[in-house]
Amino acid sequence: MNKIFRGKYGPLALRIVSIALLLAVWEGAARWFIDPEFVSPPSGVVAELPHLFSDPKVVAAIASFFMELTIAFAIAVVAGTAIGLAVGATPFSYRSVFPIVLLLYAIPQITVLPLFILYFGLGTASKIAFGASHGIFPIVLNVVAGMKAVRPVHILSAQTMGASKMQIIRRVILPQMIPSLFAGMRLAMAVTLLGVVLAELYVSTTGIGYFTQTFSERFDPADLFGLITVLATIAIVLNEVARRLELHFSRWRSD
Amino acid sequence: MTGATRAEVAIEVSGASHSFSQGTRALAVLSEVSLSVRSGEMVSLLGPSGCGKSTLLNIVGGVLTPDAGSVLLDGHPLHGIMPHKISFVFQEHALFPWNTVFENLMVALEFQGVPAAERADRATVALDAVRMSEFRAFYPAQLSGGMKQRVALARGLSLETDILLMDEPFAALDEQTRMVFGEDLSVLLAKTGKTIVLVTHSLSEAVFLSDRIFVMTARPGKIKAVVDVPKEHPRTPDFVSSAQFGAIRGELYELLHDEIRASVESAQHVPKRDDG
Amino acid sequence: MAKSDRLRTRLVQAGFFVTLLAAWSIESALRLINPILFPRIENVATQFVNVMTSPATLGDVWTTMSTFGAAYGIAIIAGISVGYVVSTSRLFTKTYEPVLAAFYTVPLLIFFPTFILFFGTGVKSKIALGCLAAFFPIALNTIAGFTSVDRNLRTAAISFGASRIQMLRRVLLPGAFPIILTGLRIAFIPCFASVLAGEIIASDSGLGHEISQNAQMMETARMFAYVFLVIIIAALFNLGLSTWETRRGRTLV
Repeated sequence: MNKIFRGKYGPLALRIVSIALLLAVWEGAARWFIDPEFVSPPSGVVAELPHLFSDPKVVAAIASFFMELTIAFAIAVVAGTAIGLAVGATPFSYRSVFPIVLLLYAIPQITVLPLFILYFGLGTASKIAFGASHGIFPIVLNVVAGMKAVRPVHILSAQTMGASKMQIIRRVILPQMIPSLFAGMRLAMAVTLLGVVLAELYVSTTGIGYFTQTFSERFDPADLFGLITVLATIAIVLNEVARRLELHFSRWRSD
Repeated sequence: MTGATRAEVAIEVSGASHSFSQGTRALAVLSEVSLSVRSGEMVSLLGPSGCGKSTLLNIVGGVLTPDAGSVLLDGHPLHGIMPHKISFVFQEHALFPWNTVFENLMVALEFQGVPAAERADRATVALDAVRMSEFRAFYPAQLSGGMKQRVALARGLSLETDILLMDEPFAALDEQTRMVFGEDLSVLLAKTGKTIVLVTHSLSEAVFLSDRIFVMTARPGKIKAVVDVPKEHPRTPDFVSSAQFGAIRGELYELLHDEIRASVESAQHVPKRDDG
Repeated sequence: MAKSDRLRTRLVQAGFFVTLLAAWSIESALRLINPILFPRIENVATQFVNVMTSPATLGDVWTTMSTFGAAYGIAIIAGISVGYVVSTSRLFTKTYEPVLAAFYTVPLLIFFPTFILFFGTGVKSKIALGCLAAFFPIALNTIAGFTSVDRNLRTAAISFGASRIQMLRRVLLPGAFPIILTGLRIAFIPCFASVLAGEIIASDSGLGHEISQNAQMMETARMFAYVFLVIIIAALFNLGLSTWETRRGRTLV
């Protein structure tokens, strides 16, 4: 095997071959062995996609999902950064507030999902709120970590050159924090996504939850797989974007 | 020209004592240190590890206020940091890794309050002086130790202060880079006429660069002796192999030998103030 | 964390908790918030006692925990096996490790509807979800663990004539063990949370189901009681894990 898949593109080729094999097995099994009510062959899923997208309600559900995700993420980043800066600002605030953050972080958030729905209703607000409540934690944790990583010698150096407090924050502390912030954003994107998906699936009266439920009840695996593939693709793309941004902004790091 | 002709005292330290608290105990680091540095002189503070030479440098720079004693700059008492009179060159870690070489200098000038229009010129001139102009767009992580130190020096020079304080600037460099850097430094500083205080634990460096060397005792540090190096700047590599160099170095070694032994055998470690 | 830091952290957390309880008691007494949205502390306490003494609760706890146990167990077996196989060849590692890492970032919950399609709303769908959630960190850490075993050790073992099995037992497993253990530890929360999520979203039994049911019936006090029960179980697990880690003499992040 090593001989066939040699060289720089070896792994890539093997990956393609593996996926092709997997799809082939899936296609074969779905067509001839498994009950079509449960599994749809890949060809079926692909064939069904145009039909799926032609339904405006489905498109609206996906668009709504995307919008909720964006807003939840934005809230998580802004609020998380503000909280993180406040917590990390002084040793006192760190020691008194950070343990509370850790405590909240330890609670499995899924348990309060029904509560969020109760408070914010069945609409988009609860999904945004729930998503944001997930995303806020990695941001806070990373901003605080970034602030702690500021090296005293840099602050001292800036002081000896006559820097004011504002200048030290702008020129020394914030730039050091940016890689941590972007790492936090990468994590926040993943968990905000999870939060929004959770909320969407829970509410089966509208949105994506409605369609996953309907497609299941109709025993329409092609549509269901199609929808899931779309969501998975969105997740992978967003994560990749976040990852690249993180790499870009961490360029100056030698560690 | 070096300080031999100018008699004004740029820096005067009188009876400086300082101790650091470690838990419940106080560790005396400096004990009644007095010294004076003439304007335009380059002096070294030479001593074993932990003798308080970095602390003394920080006191001279206004970063630290001594428990007892005073510091006068040009006759005026020193109360704190003076960014327009004193600039520091720390060990290599002091460059901002998120800025390029050029940006590092620009930011320093911004801190000092130099008008925006002048900054670029001052930065460029300083980089030219240390021959790092072609690296202006590089990040510190992409530079070698010697190059980083040159940038740090350029930054210190660009601030155009009368006094330059350098805390073991060669410590992170290898032997060969040190030799070259030392020569460059000598040339450069002879041109600018600044008053320079250098902290080092290397005898050769001290002899090569300084007009006078303050030899310190082991902790708590006092000035044990002052050794003159009556050779004009800029000094060339052949100075190192001269008899004069050897003699002075030998004298330093004799003075320091017992102090080094004492500090090696003492059990305490005092963390440096600017530990990253 | 230094011992004094840890103590201080715990004190702050305890203090926070006490303050919350106090605030809640005051709110309950003053009747400030609509009890359907936010129940009175005494009602929650009553319901909690009720839940803890009800025989049905044991069944629910058992459902949830056994689902979790099955999911976690299957994931361990599958994850370590797959991880080991991938780690045996550099080609496999370079090929599949990034694929696994990519899948790790997808919220695996989106596959839950297909599990419901296959298995219905019974425990099997939750086992599948939990298993999927735990699989990736375990497999990834297994790969990392086995590949981290110093090449020199492996070469030395081969030169001594070790068979594949001996190599596995004597060289690879001991070397990889700490990292694999970390993977098991990391997989824990996603697995438990996924099982709960599955129970909340679509289920007919289990603690998550009770939470969801009571919320829908506006029985908020009882819902809170179940939430607290879940939190206590999660906390006990965490405590157990960290005590076990400390006993073993190392803290795995």
